[in-house]
Amino acid sequence: MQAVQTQAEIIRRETVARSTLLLELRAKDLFSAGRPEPGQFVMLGPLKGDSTDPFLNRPFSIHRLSGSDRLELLIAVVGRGTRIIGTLEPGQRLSLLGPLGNGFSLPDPKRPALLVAGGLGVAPLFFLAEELCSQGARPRLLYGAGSVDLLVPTDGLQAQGGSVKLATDDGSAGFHGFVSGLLEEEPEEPGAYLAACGPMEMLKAVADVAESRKLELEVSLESRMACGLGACLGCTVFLPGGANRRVCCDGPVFLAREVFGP
Amino acid sequence: MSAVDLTVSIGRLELENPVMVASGTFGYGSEYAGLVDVDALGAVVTKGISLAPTDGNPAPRTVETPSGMLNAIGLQNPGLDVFVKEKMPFLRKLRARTIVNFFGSTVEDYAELAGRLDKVDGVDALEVNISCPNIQAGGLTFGSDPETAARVAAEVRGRTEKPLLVKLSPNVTDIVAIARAVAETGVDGLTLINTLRGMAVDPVSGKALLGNVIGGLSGPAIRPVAVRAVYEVAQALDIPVVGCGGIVEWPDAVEFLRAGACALQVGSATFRNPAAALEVLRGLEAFIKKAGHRKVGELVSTVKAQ
Repeated sequence: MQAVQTQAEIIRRETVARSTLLLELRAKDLFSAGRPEPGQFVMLGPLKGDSTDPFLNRPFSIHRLSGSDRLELLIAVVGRGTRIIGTLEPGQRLSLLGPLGNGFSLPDPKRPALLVAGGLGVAPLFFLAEELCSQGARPRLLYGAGSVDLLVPTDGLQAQGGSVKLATDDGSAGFHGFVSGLLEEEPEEPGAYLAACGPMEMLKAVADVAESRKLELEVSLESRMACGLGACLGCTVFLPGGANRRVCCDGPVFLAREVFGP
Repeated sequence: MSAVDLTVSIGRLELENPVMVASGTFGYGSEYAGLVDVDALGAVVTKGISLAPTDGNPAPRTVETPSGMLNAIGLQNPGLDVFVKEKMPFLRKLRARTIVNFFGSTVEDYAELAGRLDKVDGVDALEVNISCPNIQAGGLTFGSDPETAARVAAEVRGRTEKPLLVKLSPNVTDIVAIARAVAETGVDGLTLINTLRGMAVDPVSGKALLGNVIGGLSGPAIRPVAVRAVYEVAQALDIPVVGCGGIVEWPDAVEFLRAGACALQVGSATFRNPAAALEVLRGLEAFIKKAGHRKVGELVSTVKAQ
């Protein structure tokens, strides 16, 4: 899908978890070449006016489509760039480039679908879950974070036919442990579709479960990016076997066996 | 607008307009097709090409810094053969000129690459990279000594008829000495400047923020260094200079022209705004017209004393 460079207006800004903001944006042009797909992302930054600081945009997965011209992003305020984006008020505008990258392959709605999210990895998987629900599937989201105050709300999913199970590292909500441990507790379902997004160690743990259960797994990778378009080669990952791939445009969604080896 | 003559000559290389995109910031052109009007650029300078494929450096490869960024990509590229087969077909069809940037790890590599690129249809000019700070062998080791730099330039000059630019490093004590040595080999022009060596450290974890620890600084943070380098070389030598380093908007381009550049490369600004180079071009054209000039060249080397 052809990406566009446009401006997005902030419609809503809400703190949804510790140091985590939800931004709802209106960006009509983003939809001009069709509906963005779950797993795709946008590059976001302050409008390019007189200031060249911060210099670069930041990549964010699409968390939800909330209307025919609206999207929601989750923003962890972790540094200067996200702090500056996070101080912008509803009514103000941002520079937005997207939709970028390749999304998840949407499995047949009849297949059981397990979506495993670690931390902010919930952003693209919530979008995927809603999309699957809209096709009549009943996706199950397994969602882990360090602690209960880091979990962003996922309430909307049950009403659409999906389900959510939580895990926290400190046991303050749901399963006490990593989300990959929660996945191991799930009954075996031959032919199920697995998708995961989160820290690399978590993805590896999920890939091990998928491997032992012989399930197809798609993972969405994260990387630092400058351009988002495949030009700067800043986000390159080296795959087993020596090939290199750009997270931004060869991914961010890859087959787990491509990333971790068969 | 038609009253303004935007064409420029860099030695034997003729461009429809003076605004190019710098090597390493625009891929091989096709990455930006559909998003911006690539045809309208003066030239696309490709990501640097080597004889064999190059993997590049470990992650992280980029980090933002005040009004700029550090990169240590490590010249990742698919190698000459794949470049010619897979990337040239798009570039060949562009109205914009194609300038192929290349690098080697020995003088012989540079000569062989020049000889082989000389025969590639659609390559309008070559840009020799002797200034990349991010690889162990090659790159900067050739660009920091006048004699070595001149040897690479002379070898390359002897192997190609195509117009030739040599991209120089600011990481030297006397850039004029290197520029002079290279200019004497008969190259068509000099591109000034490549990135400045730099690094950044996470104060809390103590970790270097680049996988390669040290990288190259680009963006508006380096513009004064680049303008000074262009000025010094343009004052001292009679060779076309292409200005590069921190151009974000059209007034930055005018600054480089006044300092002595006859053409420009927009680099990392494209990362934050894919249309940066084209906006620079439109702004420059409007400025030239408004200032009552008819040609870009009328602005070149017009710095006045205070």
